[in-house]
Amino acid sequence: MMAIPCIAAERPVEGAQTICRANVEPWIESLLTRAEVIAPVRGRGADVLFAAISRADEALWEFENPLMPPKQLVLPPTEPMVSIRETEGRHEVEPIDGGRPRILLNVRSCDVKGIEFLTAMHAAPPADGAFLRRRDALTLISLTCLAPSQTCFCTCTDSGPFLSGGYDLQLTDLGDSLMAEPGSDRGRELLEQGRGWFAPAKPADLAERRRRAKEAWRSFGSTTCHFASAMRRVSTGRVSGELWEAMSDWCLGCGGCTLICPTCYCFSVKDRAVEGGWERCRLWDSCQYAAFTLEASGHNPRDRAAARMKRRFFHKVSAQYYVRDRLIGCVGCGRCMKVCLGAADMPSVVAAIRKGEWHA
Amino acid sequence: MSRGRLCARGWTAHQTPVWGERLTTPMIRRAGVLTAVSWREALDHAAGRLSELRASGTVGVLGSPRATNEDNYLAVKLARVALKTPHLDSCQGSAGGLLLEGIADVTHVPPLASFADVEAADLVLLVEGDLVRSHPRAAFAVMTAIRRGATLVTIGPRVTHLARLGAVHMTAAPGRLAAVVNGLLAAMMELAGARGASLAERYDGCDALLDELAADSGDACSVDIAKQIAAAERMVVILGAAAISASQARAQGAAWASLLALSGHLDRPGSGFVVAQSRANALGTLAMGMSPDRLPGWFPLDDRDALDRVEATWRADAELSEGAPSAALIRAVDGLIVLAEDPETSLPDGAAAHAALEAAECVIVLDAFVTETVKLAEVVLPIASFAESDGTYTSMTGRLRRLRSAAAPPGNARSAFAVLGEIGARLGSVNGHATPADVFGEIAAIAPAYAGKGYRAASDVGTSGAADARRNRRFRLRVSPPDPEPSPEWPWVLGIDGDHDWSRDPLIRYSPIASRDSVSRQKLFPSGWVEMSRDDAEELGVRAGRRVRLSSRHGEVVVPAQIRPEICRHVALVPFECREHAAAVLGGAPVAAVRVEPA
Repeated sequence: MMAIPCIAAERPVEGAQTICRANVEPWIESLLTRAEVIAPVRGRGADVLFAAISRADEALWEFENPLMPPKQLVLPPTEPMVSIRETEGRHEVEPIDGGRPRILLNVRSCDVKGIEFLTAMHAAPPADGAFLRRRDALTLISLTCLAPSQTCFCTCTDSGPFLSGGYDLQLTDLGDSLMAEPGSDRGRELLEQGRGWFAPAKPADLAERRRRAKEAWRSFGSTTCHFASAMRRVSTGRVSGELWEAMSDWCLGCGGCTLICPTCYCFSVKDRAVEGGWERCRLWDSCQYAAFTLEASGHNPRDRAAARMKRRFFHKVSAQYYVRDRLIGCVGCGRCMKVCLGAADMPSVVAAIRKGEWHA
Repeated sequence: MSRGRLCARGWTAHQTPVWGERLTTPMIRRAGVLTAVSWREALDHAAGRLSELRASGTVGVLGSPRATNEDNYLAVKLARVALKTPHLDSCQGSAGGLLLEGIADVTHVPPLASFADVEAADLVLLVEGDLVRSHPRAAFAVMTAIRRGATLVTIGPRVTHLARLGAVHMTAAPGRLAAVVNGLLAAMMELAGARGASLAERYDGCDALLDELAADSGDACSVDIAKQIAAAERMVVILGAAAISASQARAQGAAWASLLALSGHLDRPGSGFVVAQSRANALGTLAMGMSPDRLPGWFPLDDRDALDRVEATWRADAELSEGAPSAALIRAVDGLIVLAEDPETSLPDGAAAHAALEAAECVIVLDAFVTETVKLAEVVLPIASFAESDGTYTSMTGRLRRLRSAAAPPGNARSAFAVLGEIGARLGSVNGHATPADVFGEIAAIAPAYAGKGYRAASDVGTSGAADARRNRRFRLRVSPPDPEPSPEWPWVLGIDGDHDWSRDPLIRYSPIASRDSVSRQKLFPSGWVEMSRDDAEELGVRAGRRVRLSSRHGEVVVPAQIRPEICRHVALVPFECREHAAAVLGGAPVAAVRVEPA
C-alpha cells in the first residue's frame, strides 16, 4: 500500500482543547497525585526509556522513541499470575492482580496502536483476564509525531504519525500550546479534571493542528512498504520455501525483533519458588528460538530457522487480523531495524516478499 | 559496542540473576555440610586457612571471565602480593592466551581489530567454530561486511551458516588447520617472491620459512586466496573456537600473524585479528595479569619497564615468577581461591578438574550462583552477579566497557570487590581500595593502555599499551608444525566442537528461556552424541540417533550419532558440552584419529 494520507487523522476530533505551555507542568503534577505516571525519560547514559516519573519536568517532550516499547506495562517480561501455596497437603491457588492505575504519558502513535493490537488479541475469546486488568488500569495520553526518525514507517501500517482513535487523549505540540483531543470517556474526564488549565480549541488552533499533521505526513517522504502487496502474497501462499530459506540465512535467531516488537506476545510459563510455595509466571518468549516449539517427544515442527521466520511473518503480515480487527501486526515503529542482528527486519522482508526475491 | 543489537544470550541475560540459584549468605563446611555463618566468621576462616596453607604448602587463585577487570586485578594482587604465589590463571585463558601469545611472538603486541574494522574490511578470513552460535554479534559484523561487498573466506570442518554466505570455504578437519595456514603462507611467499629481497631485509627468518615451506606449495585455492589477501586493502582474520582449542595454539597464532606480516597487513589501519574467545571478559582477565606468566597489562614477567611500574605501584614484596597454568594449577595446590568460575565446566578435562578440586585441602569460592565448584567448597562467599556489579570489562576486540550495577545484590551477598579487599586486608599486605574506580586507577598506573581512558568511556585498550613497540622490530616468522595424519587403521578424525560449555554456564543454565535448548538436548541424549556427515552415516548404515562405536589407540566409546549435512567427510565432532563422553577416545588431546563403526 502506498503511503495514503489518513484523512481522519488530519481532522481534529470533537472536543479538542488546548493548554498553554506554562500550564503543562502543573497539569502533569496534578496527574501525579492521581496515579502513577509513566513517561519517556532520559536514563543513565543517553538512553530514552519509559519509566515512572516523580516530577513533571522529568517527562521528555522531544525524544527518539524508546527502544523498549511500553508493552511491558500490559505484558511484563516476568509476570507472576497465580500464587500456589501448599498447606496440609492441599494446594491453594490464587490469582495475582497486577493491575494498578497508571497513566502512560507521551506515548507515540505507533505504540498506542501496538497496545490496541495486543488488546484485541487478548480480549478475543477466551479472554485473558490478567492482561485485561492491566490494560483497563492504563490511561493512554499520546503525543503525535511531527517528524519521523530514520527508521519510522507508520504511514505504511496505518499507525501514525497522528491517530484518530485508540488513545484516551492525543496531544499535539502547536508551539506555544498543546492541543489535546479526547478519544474516550476517560480522556474527556481528564480534560474535565483539568478544566482550569484547558480551554476549547480556537479555529486558528485547529488549522495549525491540521497544518502540522499534513506536514508530519509529508516529512515521511515517499516511504512505501508495500504492505498490502506483501499481505496478499503471504495470505495466498505465494511465498516460496526457497525465499524463506534465503531470508533465514540473514537472521541469527537472536529473538530481538520479537522482544522489542509492540505487537509480539509469545510467552512461556514457569514456576518460581517463593517462601511457602510458588508463583506461576508468564515470561516473554520468542517464536524465533528453536526450542519454542520443541515438543516433549523431541519432535520440533519448526526446527529450521526458515520455518520459524515464515511463521513470524505470516503472523505479522497475513490478512487474518486485518479482516477480523482491521489491524495490521506491524505498527511501523522501525524498532526491528534497530535491533536486527542480521538483515531480516520487517521492511526488508516485506520488500522481498513483494518482489519474490531476496537481496541482503 | 552492541549498538542496541544483542544476541539471544544478551536478550535473556536479565533472567539469570532473577531466576538463578543464588548464593545469599556466607557458608563454611562443617561436618561435611555447608552451614550459614556471619561474614566475619567466613572471612576469618578463609584468611586463617589461607595463611595456614601458605605456610605448609601451596596456594593458588583462579580468576574469571565472568568477573570485572577490577575484580580480576584484585585477585591477581591477592595471589602475587598477599599469598606470594605464582599460581594464578583463568580456566579459558590458557587456550585464548596461547593463541594471543603466538600472535605476539611475531607482532609483539597483537593487532586487534574492532567490529567496525570487520564491517569495513574487504576480506574476512574466518577460522570457525561456528561464529553464529558462539559469537552472534561478531557474526553480524561479518554479515555487514558481506553486505558491503567484502569477500568472506571460511575455514573449518563444517559448512556453517556464515560459510553459506561466504565466497570460499576451505575444508579443514579438526587438527588440520596447520595445513591450511601453511598452504596460505607458502602461496603468499611465492607471491612475495618478486619482492623477496625487501621481505628478507624486514623479516628475520624469511629464508628459514622458505626452507620449511619448500615441501608445501600452496594449492590452487590457497594461491587464489593469497592473491586476494595481497590485493585486499583491509583484512581481518577472525580466529574462532577451532583455532583457540587447537593443539599447538601458540604456533597457530604465530603462523596467522606471519601471514598478516607477509601480506603487508600488519600495522595497516583496519587490518588485524579478532580472537573470538568465549565469555564476556576473557580478554580482560588476561589483560589484568590473571595468568601464570604475565603481569597486569599482559606484559611478560621479564619486561623490565612493566616490572618497574608494578613495583612502584604495589610497593610490596610480590611473587613474580612463573606458575602453573589452570589445569595443572588445580592439581598442584593445597588451597585454592576460585573467583566466579567452575573449572569442571570450563576446562577441557572436566572430570580431572572435578577430581582435583575434590582432592584439594581447602577450596574457597566467591560466586553469585550455585555451581559444581560451590558444592565442593569449604568456604562459600556470596558475591554480586554482573547485574549488581560496578566496574569495567575488556571486550574481545580490546574495547573497555563500563558495567553499572542495576540492582542491589540479594540477601547478604556483597560485591566481589569488597570481599577480595577484606581477604587481602586479613592477610595483611594488600592496601584497601574505596571503590572499583580506585582499582581502575591502579590498573592504569601499571598498564598504560588503560591510562587516560577514563573510567566511564568506552575506549580501545587492546591487550596492552606500547603500540609503537612494534616499530623497528624485526619479525620472526613462524610456521605451525605439521599435524598428525589419519592412518588406514584410524581413517577418521574426531575433534571437539567449540571451546565453552554454555549449557552449564550460569548465564545460560539459570535463564528459563536460554537454557531450554540445552536442557532438551541433555534429556534426549543423556550420554552425549557425536556428529557426522550424511554421506558418512549412509555409508556406515547409521541413522540419526543410532549408536556408533568410536575407537582410537587410546580406547573406545559408544555414543549416539547425529547427522549434520554440513560436516565434511570422515570427520566426527563431539560438542564441547559432551566432551567427557568421548574422553576415553581422545586421550586428553583435542583431536584424535579414530575408527567409526555402527555399534
